[in-house]
Amino acid sequence: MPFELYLNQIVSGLLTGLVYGLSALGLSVIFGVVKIVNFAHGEMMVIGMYLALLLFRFAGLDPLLSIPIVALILFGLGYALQATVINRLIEVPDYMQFLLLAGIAIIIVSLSLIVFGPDAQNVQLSYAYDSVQIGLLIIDKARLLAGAAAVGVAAALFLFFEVFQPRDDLAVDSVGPDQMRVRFDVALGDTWGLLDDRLLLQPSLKSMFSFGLLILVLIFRPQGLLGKRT
Amino acid sequence: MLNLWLGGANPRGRALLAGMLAVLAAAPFFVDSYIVSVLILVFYFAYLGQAWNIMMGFAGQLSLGHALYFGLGAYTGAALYVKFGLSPWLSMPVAIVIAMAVGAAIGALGFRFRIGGVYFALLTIAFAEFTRILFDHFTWVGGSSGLFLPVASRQGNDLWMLRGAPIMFYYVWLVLTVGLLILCRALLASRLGYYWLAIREDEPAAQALGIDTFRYKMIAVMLSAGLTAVAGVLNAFYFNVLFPEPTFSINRSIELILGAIIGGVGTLMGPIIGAFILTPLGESLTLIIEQIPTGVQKLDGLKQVFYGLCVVLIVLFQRAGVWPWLARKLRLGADGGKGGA
Amino acid sequence: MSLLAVDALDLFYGDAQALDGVSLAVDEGAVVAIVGANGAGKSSLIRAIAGIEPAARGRVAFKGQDITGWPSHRVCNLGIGQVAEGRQIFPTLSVRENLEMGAVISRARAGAAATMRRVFEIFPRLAERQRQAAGTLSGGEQQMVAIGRCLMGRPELIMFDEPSLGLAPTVVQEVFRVIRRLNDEGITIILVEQNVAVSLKLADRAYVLENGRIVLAGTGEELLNDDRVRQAYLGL
Ligand SMILES: Nc1ncnc2c1ncn2[C@@H]1O[C@H](COP(=O)(O)OP(=O)(O)OP(=O)(O)O)[C@@H](O)[C@H]1O
Ligand SMILES: [Mg+2]
Repeated sequence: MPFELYLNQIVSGLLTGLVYGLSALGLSVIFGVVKIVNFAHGEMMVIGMYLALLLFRFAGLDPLLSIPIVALILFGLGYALQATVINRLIEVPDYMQFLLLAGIAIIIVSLSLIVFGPDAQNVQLSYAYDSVQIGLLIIDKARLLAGAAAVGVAAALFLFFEVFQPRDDLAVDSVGPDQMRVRFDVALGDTWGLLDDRLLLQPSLKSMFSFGLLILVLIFRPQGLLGKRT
Repeated sequence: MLNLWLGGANPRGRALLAGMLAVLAAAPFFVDSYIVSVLILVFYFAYLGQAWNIMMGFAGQLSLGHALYFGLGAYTGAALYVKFGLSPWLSMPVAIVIAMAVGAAIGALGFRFRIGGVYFALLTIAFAEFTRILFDHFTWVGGSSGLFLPVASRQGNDLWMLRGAPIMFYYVWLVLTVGLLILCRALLASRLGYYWLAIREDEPAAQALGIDTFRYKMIAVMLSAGLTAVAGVLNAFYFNVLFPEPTFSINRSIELILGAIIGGVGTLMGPIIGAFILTPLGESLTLIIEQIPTGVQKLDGLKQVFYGLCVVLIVLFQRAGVWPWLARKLRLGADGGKGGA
Repeated sequence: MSLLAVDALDLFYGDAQALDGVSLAVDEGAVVAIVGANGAGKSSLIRAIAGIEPAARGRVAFKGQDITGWPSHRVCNLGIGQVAEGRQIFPTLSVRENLEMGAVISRARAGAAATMRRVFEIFPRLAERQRQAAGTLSGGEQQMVAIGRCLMGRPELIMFDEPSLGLAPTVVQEVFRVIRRLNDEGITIILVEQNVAVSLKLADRAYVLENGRIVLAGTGEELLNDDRVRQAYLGL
């Protein structure tokens, strides 16, 4: 097997990883600020994906261009979720919060199954089969763009935190006084996830490894693979 | 307080329970087969909610991966029957041992490495999902194309092999559900129940008092896992078909704790009351959807939406569950009160 | 031979070191005070002795018996009790049930009724409120429950972790009176306190903990007169 093939696989994996990384960043923003494990985070991301799909089908909008629109809609959704439901959970035991968000996750997934059916859907981009060649590397154009967008949004997020300088204790101590900001962050966190323009995850051994990895991380490094040990 | 928790004890409540039991024992002779199948579903929710309750309600350890034990039980029973013609009553002990061993492994990892609260729940989900995909590729038991129990048409009911009419399953479920209720009551009244109470209320305090928290949490997990596996075996023989996806999925994990959540976590009667509320609602929903011509294939999805809504509404509006509230209203004394914290 | 001997104990939370070579000796019948700033490692020391946090290195011996690495329930059953930081009562259980929970270890089970009478004699207040849910008690009463519950385990050594935290001055006095009384009745005491002046006065022997290390040791009186202690902890 030629070396370029491996290299291409790795790069394409990394690009997809960037998108998931962005989603994870959103999750950790939520956790860092409101101390809630948003079990429905992935499901919110699914909503984002379907919105991008709809905007493409009916308005011919490239998913990259629909980012602001979808982000706005999910922002609203996240805001509504926080205002109506999560806000009431502040003095509730942890496991109740978790159950509630699991319930919301199931509602979202089941509804999207009903509306869109179980089959994988695709965005037929004109450049779906285009690729970019850099030396030995041949990269899917769509993947490259998605990865770049992920980096861009992540950069914007860091910039946001730089500029607005959220109070330190807010990030550590959660909830408390500044409800508005907290609410904003849940909404914000929810919008990050929507960039993946293809629904390509199918149950396979690949995701079994993901769960295996999750188990190992939970056991050995609950603060995350890169987190500092406390 | 402890009295409330042990509860269900006042004469009024006892009379009501006995009456209910008599009605249920006689029911199949008076109602049609549809009602029997609905009641079987009630027992399914009541039994599984009770089994899960041992871990969450009694010992305070949240598992959102109980589909794992359920599925291991189902597959063990079905595979031993299909491959070796073994009676479910003989495969049940095997299923219990397997589920307990897996529960012990997860518990040991979680408790030894001090994976607390929500992270422990994540761990249980991860193990269930891991196993689901594993069974998708486990071709000896059919992989993703499923495992089917042969349904030979025969005369009468074969209780030993659990082949027969729903009415037979009805009584098996009834006996198991009542048996589990009695077992749980005994557990709560025992020293073990006392230790669990301390752990659930404040684990560090329990540890500081010299309670071997690790040990008693392990016992809770293993008991809960083993009992859940029993329901898995029974369910496999009732439905005669198994697929990894619906058997091990997170939806199943949520489904099988609904009775307890709606009725009241940590209470004895909660899972049973919850099952009696949940099932008729779910069934009426099904009946309504069936009236809609295109609805049939979407039925399953809508039921999930309904289950999700149940969880959300209970957490938001009746956190302790319906039973404590109901017990107060009916003045049953009973195990309501703050039992379901 | 001392009742409790701790020798070169190291404790880590992940990569962070909380105890660094801590050694101390507690004589039978003594009051030993441990003082130090927030985060010095006082609670960690108690938890390490109790077997709740596993020590990385070092030894703990009780009555000459090596108990290093013993799980907490076995340590507890030897007669080493603790009144943990922040009280940790069982809020929805009644006062009486809280106390009963204190007597679950085998050394205490048989004599539980007698011990309970003794606890009620020490804290008449608790006798009055036996049936009340512990979570609805005042802070001071909750601390009494915590101390009473520890006594139910019939300990020979009690480790108090900041028993006066967040209590009104009169209640603090009461708590110290009780500690004094328990000591007079023969129970050995390890006392961790923010209230440095009072605890040093009470102590036969005292240790100063800084960043997980013992930096100073002596009799209570010696430390009370030590310039470094006066400056750092007494603000003199
Ligand atoms: N469970 C834990 N996980 C990680 N670090 C911990 C844990 N418990 C304590 N620490 C750290 O160990 C160090 C010592 O903590 P410890 O609680 O023993 O201090 P302390 O002297 O009791 O302080 P205080 O007076 O505030 O109670 C601190 O730096 C603390 O952050
Ligand atoms: Mg401390």
